Amino acid sequence: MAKRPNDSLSALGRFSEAGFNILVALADGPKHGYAMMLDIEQMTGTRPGPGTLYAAISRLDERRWIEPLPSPDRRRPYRLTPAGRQVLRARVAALRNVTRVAQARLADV
Amino acid sequence: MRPRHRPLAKRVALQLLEWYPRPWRARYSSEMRALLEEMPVGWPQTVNVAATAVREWLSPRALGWPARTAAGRIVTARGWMFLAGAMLVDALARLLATKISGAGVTDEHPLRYVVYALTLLTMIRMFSVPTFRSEKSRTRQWLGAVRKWRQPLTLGEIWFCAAMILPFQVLRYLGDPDEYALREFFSSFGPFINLFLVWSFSNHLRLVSLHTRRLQRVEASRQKSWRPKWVDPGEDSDAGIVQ
Repeated sequence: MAKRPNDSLSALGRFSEAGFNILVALADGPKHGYAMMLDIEQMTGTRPGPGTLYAAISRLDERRWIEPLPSPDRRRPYRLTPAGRQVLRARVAALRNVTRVAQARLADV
Repeated sequence: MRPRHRPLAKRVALQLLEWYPRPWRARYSSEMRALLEEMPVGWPQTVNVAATAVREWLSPRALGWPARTAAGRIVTARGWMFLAGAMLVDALARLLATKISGAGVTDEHPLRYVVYALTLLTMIRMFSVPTFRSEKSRTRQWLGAVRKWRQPLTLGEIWFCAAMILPFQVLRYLGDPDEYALREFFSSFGPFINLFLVWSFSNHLRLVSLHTRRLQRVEASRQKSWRPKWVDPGEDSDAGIVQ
């Protein structure tokens, strides 16, 4: 089995989907945990659990794909870093390819 | 779908945050607490918090944080150091016992009571420091003097404990010099039992020394340096934060 590259979202294992959703949520500006959760719910129709959200945040933060911003209260906002934006672009491009192929095959049927 | 709010579930979820690995709590606990206080929490969310706590403990990240790595290196080095030191002291005790018994001194010497008393005190001090201590026992005020006694060992105390092997072992060899003399080292089982005792002593000492003040300082400083350095958000960053 090919080893997963460490610089792609697949490296997050079971948190890769949550990580992708967080990157998308942060793509239009900094957000704190609850705002991310609501945004993801709006996008996907499912609200991620608080544990899952923070497990994914900690992994993205560790890889410097997102970074925390100073905050006057305990709700700490995060923003996307340039590296995180690059990872998101790569993932979106891969998904676009898959979507194009799937649409083409469905049209054939 | 908006989860049903259950006050009890929220209280349990907030309590569960204490179950996360300590480095994780130091970094994310306060903001996750803020999130849980803000959002409606039902039992599915509480189960999610518990399951993620288990996952965080099972993850190599729980052990691989910089603080743990730095402290872990010290603990490993200290383990080898103790074992080597204990073996050296044991060999020295054999030599001393052979010399002293040659001069006619036996294990009935009155000084033995001093040695026994010092060894007993050393053991009490060692065993009074539990390897794993709860936060509650650390902050309990009524313990008073006992609390002071239960403080982590200093390096000096650890060296003293290790050195106490010497007089104790000398007394033991004096009791039966023929069996434990160097020339008999490989011809009877006695020395091997003795080595096991030395190993147990040094291993226990190593476990106790996990709570030395120096080790705690290393952990504290590494955790502090690991915390992210806040980046300057710039003038326009705050405007974009979604509330």
